Amino acid sequence: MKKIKQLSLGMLSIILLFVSMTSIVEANTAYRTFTEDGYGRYVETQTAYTVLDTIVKFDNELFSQAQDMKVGADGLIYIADTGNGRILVGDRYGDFVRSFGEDELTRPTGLFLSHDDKVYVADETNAKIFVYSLTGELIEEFGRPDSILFGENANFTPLKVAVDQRDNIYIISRGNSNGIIQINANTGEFLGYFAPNTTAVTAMTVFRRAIFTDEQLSRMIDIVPPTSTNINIDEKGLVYSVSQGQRVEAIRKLNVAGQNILETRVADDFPAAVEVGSLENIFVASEDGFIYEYTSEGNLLFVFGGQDDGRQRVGLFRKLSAIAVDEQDRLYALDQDRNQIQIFEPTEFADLVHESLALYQNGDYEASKGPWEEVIRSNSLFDFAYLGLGEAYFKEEDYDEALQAFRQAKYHEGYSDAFWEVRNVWMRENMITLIFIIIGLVVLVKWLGWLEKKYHYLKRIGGYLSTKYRMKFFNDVAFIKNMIKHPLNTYYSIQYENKGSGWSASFWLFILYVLFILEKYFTGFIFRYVRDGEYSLAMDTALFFGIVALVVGSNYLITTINEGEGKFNHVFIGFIYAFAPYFLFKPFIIIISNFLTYNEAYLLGLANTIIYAWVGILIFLMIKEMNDYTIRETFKIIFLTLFMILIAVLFIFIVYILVVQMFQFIVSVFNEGVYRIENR
Amino acid sequence: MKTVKVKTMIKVLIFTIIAGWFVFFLLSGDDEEMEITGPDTPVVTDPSDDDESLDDGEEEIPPIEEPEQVEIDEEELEELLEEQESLALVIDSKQNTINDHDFWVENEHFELYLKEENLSIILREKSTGSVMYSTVDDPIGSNQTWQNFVRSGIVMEYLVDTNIVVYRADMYSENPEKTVSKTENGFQAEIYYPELEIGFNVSVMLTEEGITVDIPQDSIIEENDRYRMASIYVYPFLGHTLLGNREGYMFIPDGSGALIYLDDKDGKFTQPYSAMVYGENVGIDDPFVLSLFNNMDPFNDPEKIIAPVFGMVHTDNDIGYLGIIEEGQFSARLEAYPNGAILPYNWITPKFIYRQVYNQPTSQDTGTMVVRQRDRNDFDIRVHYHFVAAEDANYMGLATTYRQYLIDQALFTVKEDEFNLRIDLLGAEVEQGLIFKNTVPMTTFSQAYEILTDIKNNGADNILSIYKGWQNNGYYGGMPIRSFRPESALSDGMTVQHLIEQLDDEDIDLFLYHDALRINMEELGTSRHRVMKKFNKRTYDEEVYGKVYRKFNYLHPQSSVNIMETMLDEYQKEEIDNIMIGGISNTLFSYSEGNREVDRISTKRHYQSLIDSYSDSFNLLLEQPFAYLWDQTDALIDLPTRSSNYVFVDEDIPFLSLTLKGIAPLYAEYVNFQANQEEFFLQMIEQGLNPSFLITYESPAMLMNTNSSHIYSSQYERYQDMIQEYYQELAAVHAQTNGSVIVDYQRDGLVTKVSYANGVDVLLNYAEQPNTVNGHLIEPLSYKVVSSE
Repeated sequence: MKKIKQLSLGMLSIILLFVSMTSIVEANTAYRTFTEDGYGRYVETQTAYTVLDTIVKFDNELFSQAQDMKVGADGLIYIADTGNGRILVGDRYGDFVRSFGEDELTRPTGLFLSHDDKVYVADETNAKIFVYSLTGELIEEFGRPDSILFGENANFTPLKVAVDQRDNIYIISRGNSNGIIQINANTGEFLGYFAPNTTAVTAMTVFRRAIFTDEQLSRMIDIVPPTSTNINIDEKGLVYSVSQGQRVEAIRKLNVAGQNILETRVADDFPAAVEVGSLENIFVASEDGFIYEYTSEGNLLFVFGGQDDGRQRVGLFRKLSAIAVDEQDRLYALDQDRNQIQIFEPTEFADLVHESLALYQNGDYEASKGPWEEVIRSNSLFDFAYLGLGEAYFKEEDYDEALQAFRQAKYHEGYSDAFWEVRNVWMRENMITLIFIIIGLVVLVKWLGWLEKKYHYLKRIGGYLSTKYRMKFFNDVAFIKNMIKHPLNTYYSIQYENKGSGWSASFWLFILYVLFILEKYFTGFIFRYVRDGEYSLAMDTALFFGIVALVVGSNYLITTINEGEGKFNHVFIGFIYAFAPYFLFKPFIIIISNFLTYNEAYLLGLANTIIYAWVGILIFLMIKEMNDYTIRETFKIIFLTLFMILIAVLFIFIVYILVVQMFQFIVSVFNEGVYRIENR
Repeated sequence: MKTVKVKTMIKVLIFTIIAGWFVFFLLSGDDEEMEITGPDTPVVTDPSDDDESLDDGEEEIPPIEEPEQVEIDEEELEELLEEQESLALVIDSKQNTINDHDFWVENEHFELYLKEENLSIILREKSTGSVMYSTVDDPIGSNQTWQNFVRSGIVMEYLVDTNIVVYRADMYSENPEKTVSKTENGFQAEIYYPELEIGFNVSVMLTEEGITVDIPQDSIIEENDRYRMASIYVYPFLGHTLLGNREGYMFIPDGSGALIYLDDKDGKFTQPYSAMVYGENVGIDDPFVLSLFNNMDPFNDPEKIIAPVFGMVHTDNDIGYLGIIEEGQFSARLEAYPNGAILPYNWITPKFIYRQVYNQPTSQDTGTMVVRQRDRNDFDIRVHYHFVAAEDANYMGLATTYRQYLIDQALFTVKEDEFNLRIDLLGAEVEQGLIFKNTVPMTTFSQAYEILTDIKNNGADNILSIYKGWQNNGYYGGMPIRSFRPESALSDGMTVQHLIEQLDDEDIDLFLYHDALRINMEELGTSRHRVMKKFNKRTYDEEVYGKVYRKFNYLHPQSSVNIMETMLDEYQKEEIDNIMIGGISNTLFSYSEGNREVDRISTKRHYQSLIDSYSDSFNLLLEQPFAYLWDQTDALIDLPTRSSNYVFVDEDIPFLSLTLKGIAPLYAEYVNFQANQEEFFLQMIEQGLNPSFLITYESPAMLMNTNSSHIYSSQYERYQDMIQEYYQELAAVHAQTNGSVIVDYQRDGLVTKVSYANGVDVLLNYAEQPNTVNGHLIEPLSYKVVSSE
């Protein structure tokens, strides 16, 4: 008994010794942690990862400019010690295990641990891929492929390397924009290029292609897609690659065919490394020190870290070059400038999110509901949890709750589906009432029409009013109804019969403005592009009236020098009255958009197209009729007007800049004078 | 008579308005748009202090300036290490000279030895014989400036014209004239630099506790317009060590307190710890906001220095000191250099700043010129080094010393250590609406009553509650509070007075929160209250990057006082007894008033008298107050439990609670926002802190579009049970330690033992496996309270 006690005491003290290496409680983190909300904006959340430890050396072996790092299944850390030309292996407590490759390696920049326990190393200077056993014996090496398919002038400067289950080596070579080089490890055969980056085609490039000579085109840099920066492969054999550059997809998850199957809303501009975690979560490290964690579908869970610009606090980086995850979900982040590895461990909150996510991804929606709710209780602004919760409710056919959750998550598709179900239920329950109401309404309208026809109440009232009062304004306002059936006659009346007035047009302009605002802010959630809580009324107002003034004004000015006959007042009235279909149908569309789902989205699209086309045709006719142009002339005038608008905007911009400059100049002179005198 | 056309009149009017506005703009010299965005703040006072700032849009990050390291020869280093080892750490008896230092004075506990040449002192503790040195004998490296620096007791920095580089004058450089005279229990040295025409007196006094160093400002002579004093280091090398050849640590008061071990850092750290006592000075130093992350600040601010103390402890010969800055704390900066940052020594020192240079923008975007601060900051220097020896030579000893010091000097009266559950409530907030801003009521007055009484009925008897955002337009929309107008959306059948009255019957204290510092200019437009302007006459903007308001301004201290004085009457008229003041309790700045530059100490004077008058009239709480206000507050709210996690810090210590536990009620920061709540709970047990929660009735999802969007968890329903659990456990621990101070604090890995004066030990285990302490088995992430009697 005594012996046991002694033994256990000894064990305890060993444990104590063991744990005393770690710091006691994490302090206030230097960085904030953000997550993505349903709109793809960043919102602050609880700290997800805290720094557990920092490794600056393995025993006495320092590393320099290390550019890659992987963590093996055995928990050992493999570092491509770029500056010292070797591979360094150590454990997470900073103990040195071994180093190898000193003889062959000059500048190892990439490293990969394959499924069959081999270490693949990409050496930039030697332009070779070296293959070692885990213990460091050199097994094989691969140089530049001599296949014709590789391309005569293609570069082979391997930076990063990865190997899949079928022993295909994927190599990123500097300056080789053909794609990721694929070599079979068993035969050494060049298999081809895999998933090259594509450049997005902008209007500018199309324009350039049209007018540039071949020589000029070949000198254009941005026509060549950038090579990927880093690569990784998960257990399923999916290839992940990250690329820097403005017009490429920053993070790609590639299937066997080389197609990207990942959709991310937010991504860093300078991703440097990618790693796949236990839940197929994708970790992306950016050069400027941020670490992103995405779900396997590309939703951002957390982003944290940042650039150390003299803050001197733990958890920040100078230049982050590699990231790795171990079995315990700890993150290892390698700082190439500082030559150190910071180890992060997930907090209680991050663990909770991961637990829910695991259940959710396994399709166990029922079980994931509880954890998701707990996540929301800890963080009511964590939209991804609402999404998970919504899916769970949806699967349970609790559509009301699902609808609420999807609304919180700002998840349009889910909301639409849930709403469809909710509406369906409602329709089923209220179908009869609805039909009766519609029939009742139709009958009412018919009856009123019959009454009017028989007794002419309205006409009589109208006649009475117009004899008693001067009703010009009201008549003018009401005159717009003729636009629907007889647009040409209406224009004629406006121009020659003094129908319509500046005041009535102003009235309709105001209505147009109100409708514009209503459409922007009160369209149904599914079809709205403005985010909740974002209002920019002043800007909208300025923009609206500015554009109206610019269009009407420009058009009028252009017509006056092109023998147009329209007076400004008439053109103005004509323009506004041309919006008659908009006034008539838009209110219904705004209302109805609140009750439609994506299934009926085409209805809305169709209605809108009809309205806008109709308005466009009316404006065209207006310009033609009022100025007595031919169709050809009308088109010319329209193009001239557009050109004039462009010039006017430029002109206003230039004048603004000049005024500001002059203003600043005077202020500077004055201030400097004052301070010189004061501080003589 | 000629008739004047209406048109002409309108034209004249418009012209006058435009011209008038332009002139006004020029003369006022300040406008929102005129904010400085200049990227080049010079590094002036301190080589480590790189205040680079960056334009928001810029992607590139400027290269980080590293202070130049002093080149060291390996052999030289070996020699030096040997030499250092040969220095006696313990001297058994009184000597005539130690290391060229002559015996000067002694008292019951200490002997003081002085080397007149460089004012270097050696202190010998009599009972243990341990000695502490204050300068380096044989300095290292070839850099003459640093050689002189490390050999001098006092170092002065000075400015030449408006040159942004600071120059050093010490006991060797610039050929000072020194006259050392003996005083009753120390010495006084008159120092004069004939070339610079600058002089001052230093007096060192041996006291029963240690030494006190004084440099009174009326002894300062500055006769040449070209040379101006910039700053003074007081005994920067007192207790220094070389690389890792000694054992011990430096104590920095960063947040709760932190230690830097005196081990060899292998040159890992190139920059020192450097922070202003009582927070950075926003009136002159450009704030640290750089590279925004998608329009948000991705960084948390470091903790402020709340108490003007620092320490050095040598555990190998059991001697150490707690440095207390008694005078000049408002212009002091603390610097702690781990070895490898410039020099191979570990040293910690206060640096007193007399003058700084600052950037004066002359145009809206780029033009800036460097201006030297005109007047010298107004302060005497007085640093008290309180020595600890033998078994007290550790950080617990430093904390005990500081506690005793506060009580002895009447800086702090012992308060009843009562246990309360702190429930802060958030009333109203505003969000952007289509035309007007909408009020978002989060907790109405009757809901507040409901929540608090519900907590009480469920067993948590002692509750202290702070109501934030009770004023019209809510927390951020209604700043500053200028009259007693509770937000009408919150009064659903219960007024705030009614609420306070009813809670009073239930024995719950409700404090109204009042931020006396900030002003929301966007909401106010124009106001007769002045805002604080920096030395360069630009309004200081506190950027918050909120959803509704992007920034706030600080009130001019006089305006703060004016508003608070009228509010004092209003509160009294409304019979409000409990007030909590925020903002001014932990912010100090210099500012400019017309052409006058006003020092931080004058801001402090404004605030202190104000807080004094509130303290007399109300039950007053202060939000995370600085040490000079500790006596005015009934409790310490938001006491930091951690440090800022600097790379060179080896260990966090709960210095503040070791000092204050038992003599004042201490409240932790909110539990809501802790990612590791179990660990945080243990920390509260360990440090004897009362728990704090931020509670709303509604779901915080409603705050999404308000400036409080950082509050992601606060709904009462979520915390209902947790509050009761926390209350029961913490109250039980408190019942055993009530009113008793901490006498011992031991930490071994993840296991901590805290001993109280009444014989109660609190044992905690932060590990994920059970551990045994003193024969008690503690479960993982758990604790045990044992009484040794």
